[in-house]
Order: sequence, then C-alpha cells, then structure tokens
Amino acid sequence: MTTTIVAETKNASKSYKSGDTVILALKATSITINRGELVLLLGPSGSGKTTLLSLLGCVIYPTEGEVFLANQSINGLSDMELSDLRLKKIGFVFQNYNLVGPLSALENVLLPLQLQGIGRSESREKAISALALVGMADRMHQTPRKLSGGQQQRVAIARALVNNPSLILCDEPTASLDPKSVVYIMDRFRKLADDGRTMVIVTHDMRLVSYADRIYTVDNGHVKETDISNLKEN
Amino acid sequence: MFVLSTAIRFIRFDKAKSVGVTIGIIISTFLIGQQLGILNFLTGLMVTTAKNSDAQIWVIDESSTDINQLGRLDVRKLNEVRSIAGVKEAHPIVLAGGSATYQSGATASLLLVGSEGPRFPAGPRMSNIRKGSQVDLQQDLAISSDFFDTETLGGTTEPGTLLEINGKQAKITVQTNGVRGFGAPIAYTSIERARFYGNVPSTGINAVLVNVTDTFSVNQVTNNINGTLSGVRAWPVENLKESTISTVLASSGIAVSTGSLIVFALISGFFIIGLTLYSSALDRLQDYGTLKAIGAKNSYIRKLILTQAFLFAVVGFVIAYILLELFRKGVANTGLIFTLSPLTLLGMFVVIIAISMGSSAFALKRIKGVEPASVFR
Repeated sequence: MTTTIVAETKNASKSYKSGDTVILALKATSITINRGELVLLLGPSGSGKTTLLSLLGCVIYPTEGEVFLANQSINGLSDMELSDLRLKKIGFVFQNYNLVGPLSALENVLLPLQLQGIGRSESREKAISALALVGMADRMHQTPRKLSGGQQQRVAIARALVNNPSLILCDEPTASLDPKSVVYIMDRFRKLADDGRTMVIVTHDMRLVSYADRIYTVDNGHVKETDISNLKEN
Repeated sequence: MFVLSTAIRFIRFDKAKSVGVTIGIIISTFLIGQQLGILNFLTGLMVTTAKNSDAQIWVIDESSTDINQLGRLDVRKLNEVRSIAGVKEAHPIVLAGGSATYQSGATASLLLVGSEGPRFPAGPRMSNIRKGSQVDLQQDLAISSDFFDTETLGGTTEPGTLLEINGKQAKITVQTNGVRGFGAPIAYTSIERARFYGNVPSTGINAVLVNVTDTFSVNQVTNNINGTLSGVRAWPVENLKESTISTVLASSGIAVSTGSLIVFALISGFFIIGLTLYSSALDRLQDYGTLKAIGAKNSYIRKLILTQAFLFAVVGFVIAYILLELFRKGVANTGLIFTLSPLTLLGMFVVIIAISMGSSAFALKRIKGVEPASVFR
C-alpha cells in the first residue's frame, strides 16, 4: 500500500523572545504524518507539543527548518495564504471547544464552508450531515452555552470535519470531558482515521494511547517517535 | 448575507453592550438634531420679515447686510426704483421699534412692520394668520400680534386687545401664527401707522420691495437697480436672507455656541460608541481568534466589525429620528418651530455612520493584533 505524507516537518525549530531571553520551544524536529493515521503527541505541560501542533496547523512559522502541508512548504507563504491553507486543508479541535458563542451549533459548523463561499443550501446540507455524524443533528439550533462540554466538543469535531480537510489537529480534545464523553469522542476519532482521515492529537492523557497508530513524545522541545507497543503494554 | 447574519447574531448575543452602543448613537444623533433644529429655528427668526414678504427683491440702504438693522431711505427712492427697467411693482415698507404697554401693566418691545394695504406686501401672509384677516389691519389703530408671543406680550394677543405703543393707543385686530421676530415680537400694520407709532418722519422708509416683470429675471433687475441708483443696494430676497444669517451668526456667537455643542456631541458619541465596541470586542477575543485560526482572513473580521457598527448606527439613527420628531412636535406647541430638511437628515445620517464605523477602529486595532495561535491555550 502506498503511503501518502499529509504533513511533515524537516529540522523545524521554533524560538520565542521574552525580553532579552530567547526561549527555544521546539528544537530541530523532523516528523511525518501519513494519510489515515491517528498520531498522538504526548508530553508534559510546557514540553513544546502545542508549538509543534501550531506549526503543523500553519498558525506560526518555524524559526528554522521547514514545514510542509500536502507537499507544500509553508515557509514562504503570506498570512493570507496561510489563512487560506488552514481554511481548506486543516480542521481544528480545541481543548476548550472554541465554538463561537453567539452562533448556534449549526452556524458554527457552517462557518468554514461559508468562509469559502460555498452556497447556502449546499453548505447547510454538509453541515447537517457533519452534525449527524457526531450525533448532534437534533441539537443544531442550540447555542454553545446550552450544550454540555461533551456536546460542544462534538459540535467542534463536526466543524473540523465539515470541510473534508486533509488534516485534523486536536489540542487536548478530551481534557475538559467526563470519562464517558472521552470514550465517545475517541471512538469517533478512531473511526474517522479508519475511514482515511488524518488526525494529530496533542494530549498528556495516557488513556488515549490505545487509540493511536503512532506516538511522538515531546520533552523539553525534543521530539522522538516512541514504540507504541511498549506504551500499550504499560 | 453571511457576514450580515453573523453580525446580527453577535449584536443580539451581547445585549448589554449592544444597548450601550445604541444609546450612545441615539444620544449623539438626538443632540446633533436638536442643536441643528434650534439653529434652524433661530436662523428662521433672523429672516422672518424677508420670509413673510412676497417680494423678489429688497432694495435697502447700501451699508446694511442684515435685514434686522436697516438704515433709513428717503421715500423718493421709491419712484427711482419704479423707473428701473424690469420693475413690475415696488412698495415701500417701514420697520420701526416700539415700546408696548398692555392693560395688565406688562411692557414689551415690538418691531413694527408697516406696508401698504390692502395687500400688505411686507406681510402678514394669509397662510400665517390665525385669527382675523389682512382686511382687519386696515381698521383704525390696527396691528397684529403673534399667538406664540402671548406670554411676552402681557398675557394676551387676542384680537380686540387694546395697548399703547410709545404712548399711543393701538388695537390688536389680527393674530398671526408663528411669525416671530429675532430681537422683538413682530407687529404688522399699515405703513402710516408704523410711522406714527415708531415716530418715523413721513419721508422715511426702510426698504422698497420689488417684484419683476415676466420678461426680466430677478438678477437682471437687481443689476439694473445697483447699476443705476446710488445710496441703495438691491438684494434678491434669498441673498438677503443668507447675508442676514451670516451677519448675525458672525456677530452673535450663536454659531460658535451651536457648533461647539455639536462637536461635543460628536466627540462624546465617538468615544461612547468606540469604547463600548472595544469592550465588546475584548469580550469576544476568543471568538475572533477562533475565526482566524479556522481560516477567516482579517478582511472578513473587519467586515464583521464594520457591519455591526453600521447596524448599530442605522438602528440608533432611526430611534433618534423618532425621538427628534416627537421633540419637534412637542416644542412646536410652544412656538419653537423648526424643520430638519431631508438634506440635513441625510448629512446627520452620514455623520453618524462615519462616527460609528470610525470609532470601531479601536476594536479593529485590538482584534487585528489577535494571533490565530492564541487559541491553542
């Protein structure tokens, strides 16, 4: 079977300035994310895993090295081009769901489609299908504050999926959820990966290991691939 | 459509802030409209005598630029004006000050406006008469008084009221409606009685009111008079009104006072609206950051904020306009009569849109600085 690389970093590093001090958040990192994989980025708080996710998500540029999305380097792209890339190629799921408060569940899911200028009826149809996929079609007219944490995360997943992106990035998607919701969400993610979607999940929750195809551990800015069988046995 | 519906959702979601912005716009618009209305009323008073005459041209002394401060002309100027090509008719008028004493003991200053009956070309017009008619001004001792000057004029302006003007007996026979002077209440009368009450010699007049023949334009006749006669100046009536208003505004401080109030209304509106929009944007920073993260460009965010500002301006303006109409109708009952022309309203609308959208710059600047990466926390 042919492996298709969806996202890749080559010696990518990221540093931030804090006053006169330069903080190296991510040291020369080379990883590949293949189509249909569910990849975990594991590590303690402040280890650099969110920085790596931000690079893969095209929301920041690497200080050194290169980041590729669908074989295209993001280094030379403008802010506008990066926005366009995020809109069309990436779906995001956030720790705090980040649904747009004033909008209903349906309107939140419609956002990526409408930002692309897709017609009203077509986008509505796609949004309702995405909500149905996560079991939220019956709550589509509710605003986020009327939904539980688990329900909000399901809507966020529908929003991330609705564009049919080549890469779905999740930042601690289960951190604010109860155990039952964690199982529901991770089962969904596993199924999405089995259906050919590519998912990268940042977490420090070891319960998620059993769902992963591959795992990178991040520690103090260093990234290395970890043998998954060892972790699953533990 | 998508931006519009999202903007409406944002407005409805944050009700307290939305009400705050709308109230800011209402207050600004109302204060500006109120000041412009009062200015319109005052400038109307400045030119009441010109507005209520039926002349196309006023011939006055050459040094005057204000219809309320006319110098004396010799009555022989009347025949000189009548001899000018294009003059269809010319009528003398006398403007004279008088001190009125009422039976109640109240006293008041009056501006006597005298012209020839039965037509009374200086006014009043039939449309401005509340009680009586122009014919009644031909009675002995007859003068007019305005209904809205009742309080100033000793408590009554009803026809039949007797009074003294400069110690000479007079009688109100006509009650006008909203014909009010700038410095003093106006009393229309015949030219002879204006001279009599105002102690003006029989050779004295203050202006000649001219109408032109069909074959000449107002400007042609004006030029003919100005090119032929010395010691006088002919003004098309609209030019004389404009000159009067600018002369009075420049010398009285009314323009500065009204202008500064309008400027303060604009400034306060700008900051009330701007800071409330800014505060609202701060509350929604995460939402704007999320929009950016999922691929919304800055241009979309800008449209979203500006659409909200535009909607606030439209809603606020409409409410303020309704309040202004209520205010206008309310004060009209007290004689403070003004109109806000469609052009003035359009100008106000444009200004309100501009301050509302301009003040959203605070919010736009803050939101522009939100990094999409900020949502990964």
